[in-house]
Amino acid sequence: MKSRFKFGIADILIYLVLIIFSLAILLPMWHIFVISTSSPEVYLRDTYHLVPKSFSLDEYKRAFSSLGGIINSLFVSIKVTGLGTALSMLLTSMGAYVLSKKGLPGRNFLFKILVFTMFFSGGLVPFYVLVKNLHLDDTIFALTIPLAISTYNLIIMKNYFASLPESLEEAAKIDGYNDVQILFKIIIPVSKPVFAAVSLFYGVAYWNDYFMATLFISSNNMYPLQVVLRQMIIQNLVMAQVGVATVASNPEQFKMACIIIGIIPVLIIYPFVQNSFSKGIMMGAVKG
Amino acid sequence: MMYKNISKSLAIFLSVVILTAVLSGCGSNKAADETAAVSSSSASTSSKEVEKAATEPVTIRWVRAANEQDPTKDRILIELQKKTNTKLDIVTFPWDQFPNKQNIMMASGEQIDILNCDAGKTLNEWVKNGLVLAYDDYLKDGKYPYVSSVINADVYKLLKVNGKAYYKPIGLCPQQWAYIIRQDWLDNLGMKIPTNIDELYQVIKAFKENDPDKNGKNDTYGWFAMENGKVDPADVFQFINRAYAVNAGSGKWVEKADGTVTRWEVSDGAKEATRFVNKIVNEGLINKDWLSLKFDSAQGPESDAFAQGKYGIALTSIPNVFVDKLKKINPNAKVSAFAPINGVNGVPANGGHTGGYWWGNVIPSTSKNPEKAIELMDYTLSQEGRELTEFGIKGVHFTEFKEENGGRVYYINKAECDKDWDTKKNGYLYPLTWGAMNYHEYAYIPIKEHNFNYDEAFKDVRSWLPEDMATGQFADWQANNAKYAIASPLTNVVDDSVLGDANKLLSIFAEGYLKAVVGNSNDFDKAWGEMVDKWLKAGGDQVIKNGNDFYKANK
Repeated sequence: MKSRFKFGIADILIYLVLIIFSLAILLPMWHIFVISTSSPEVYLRDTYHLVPKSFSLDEYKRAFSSLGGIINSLFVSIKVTGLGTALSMLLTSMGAYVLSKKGLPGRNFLFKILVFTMFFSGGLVPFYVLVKNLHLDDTIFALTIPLAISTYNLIIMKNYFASLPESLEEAAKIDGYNDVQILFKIIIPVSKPVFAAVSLFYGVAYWNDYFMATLFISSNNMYPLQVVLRQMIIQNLVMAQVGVATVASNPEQFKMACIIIGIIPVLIIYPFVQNSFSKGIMMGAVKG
Repeated sequence: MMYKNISKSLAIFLSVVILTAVLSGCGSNKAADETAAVSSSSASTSSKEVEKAATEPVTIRWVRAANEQDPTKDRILIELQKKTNTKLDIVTFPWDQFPNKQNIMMASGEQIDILNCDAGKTLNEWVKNGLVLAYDDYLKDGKYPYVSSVINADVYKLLKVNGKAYYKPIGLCPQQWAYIIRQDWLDNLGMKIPTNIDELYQVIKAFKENDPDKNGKNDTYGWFAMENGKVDPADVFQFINRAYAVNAGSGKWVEKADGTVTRWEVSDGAKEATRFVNKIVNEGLINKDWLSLKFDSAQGPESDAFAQGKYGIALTSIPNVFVDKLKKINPNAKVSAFAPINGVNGVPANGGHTGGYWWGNVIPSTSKNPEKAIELMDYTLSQEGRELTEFGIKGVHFTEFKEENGGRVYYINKAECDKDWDTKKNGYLYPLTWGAMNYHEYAYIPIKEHNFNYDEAFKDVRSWLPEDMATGQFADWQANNAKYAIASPLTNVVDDSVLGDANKLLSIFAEGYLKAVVGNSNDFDKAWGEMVDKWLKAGGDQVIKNGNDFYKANK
């Protein structure tokens, strides 16, 4: 009992490094928060302060009241992330499962085709034309279907499935399950960690995606959150450049508020999935 | 087993091939049908179709970055569509993606009627590949006098490619950026607004060393700059540069005494201006972190630092915002406009020149209705169209206007404006007042009043302001700046041979320039000479030769 609380010099050093490291991450975030909630006068007098001297939600009000609204784009982002992750998980797990079966004819060939797409692509213009001609543009499907399978994630899942003991399936087969039943009733339930991890990969990718939306979305009410936040910041800049910005605004404080709005949803969800996240990354790594 | 595997995978592979072929076959059939339909409809001009076309709105697909207005809900766009008998379909994307996205759209042959873009290399490339239509062919019978007058204006003549106009520039006042200075600091020091380069040096020195704000602390700078992120590194010293050459800046041309032209980067004026900059940098009169601070064209950090009294000479396009912020902290502060100083060696006081346009409209060759697209632009350039796209509908968005000094002040109905656009961001000017199809600032170009002579009309731009803007200290900012706007030779030139490899030349200049500026003043001549040599060798001498040929030919 006594020895457990005894700190060696090494421990102190370790804690010191860790504290400094986390401060380096936390302080800028805290600064952003403080600035975003300061009143403009206080901010102008002292642009760098860490102890809040005033409290005002003006910049948040401005962000939320903008026409074309943040709320709407938040729902678009949630829809894209939800639909995209579900679609991705369905397709990726089915693909990975099939490819993990040694008996699949042409398995190596199919796998090589898949890996090929990691290194080569048809280019941006053909990609754009393809999505356009499938009439997916300006719909939520343009943001989900083209990104539905990430080869990298598929390989992680494939490796995990390959590491499951074959006897598990044999037993199921003897009990009369067919291949689809085996996947959904046996394999998926025992693969929860890798599912959680890969879903998180996909979820974060969909949530943060910016490029696809700028490429394929042309109506304001279909923009996901990331695009709207960026647009709010950048438009101010353009207008000042051409000399039409007339409103006495605080672009710096507004930016800080936008950043906080952008990270809060992720901060809320992350603690719940964090556990499986770190577990999951190790999953596929064990067996090549 | 081996054989079976191969045959099976071959089967899968083949079926994929067949499937792809079938799918692509469907696609191309459909495309063929569409072209057939288009050609048949254009070939058969039965009276029925003409009648239909006359009554039914024509769809105009307009690509414009950073648009937030919805043509089906925004009452101003609804009115515009009614007036021009069009149905607007606005394709938009975030501002910073626009060069990318427009290239992809053009390369993929997408149907577009109007595209807002920059002039220059990309556009020249499109012209070469036949991706855009020339305006000239549609203006012959004089149907669109406004567009015609803009296209054929003298200011924009160098924008033509091979003698044809593919680009309709959107007018911009000759200069929207200029300087302001802390008048109360000058008063404290017993100094006057500088009018030449020596007086400017004295003021910069005094602002740094003589405690202009009288707070007993050495906490002010003589010159303040944010260099990081600037495309042209000399831009933060443009005020000084222009004392040595008219409209100085990289990419600009300078006329020499013998009547030939040279690029500013390698001119004598640039060297002397940079020597002056080198002096104030070496004497520590500039903020120490000027190289690392990130420039922000929205002028947020710049105006914050100005308000905090860190510096007293500011470059801005939005002076009223600077003054408002400053007064919040220091209600007794006084600010004056800082007019360009008289230059050395007879260089006149000048404040730079924008070339008279910013952005423009092109009509891609995929347009289904080029005539209607031009008709729409033509309408927005008229007095009625300008009023609609700047302030909205009379009786709804504004109640009345009064004529004042040749301009107009509009009385705004704020509650109605709030319903149609984000007034917190845009103020009470309609968001599509800029970067649409007509003059984009708070002004109207009286083209018709000047008998469709655009060059005359452009000198007589009339400011149309909402009432709250007409009262600020710098309400006449643009008009004042215009007095000092002098264009340099070859302004607006887009010819490929005259532009040369602009990016490469700029990066060589930027590197050499910064080296010379931060270096020891004894080494200045050597550093500058190295930059000039490198610049000329990298294709700069050819650019200067081509520029001279072009200058002579177009004089």
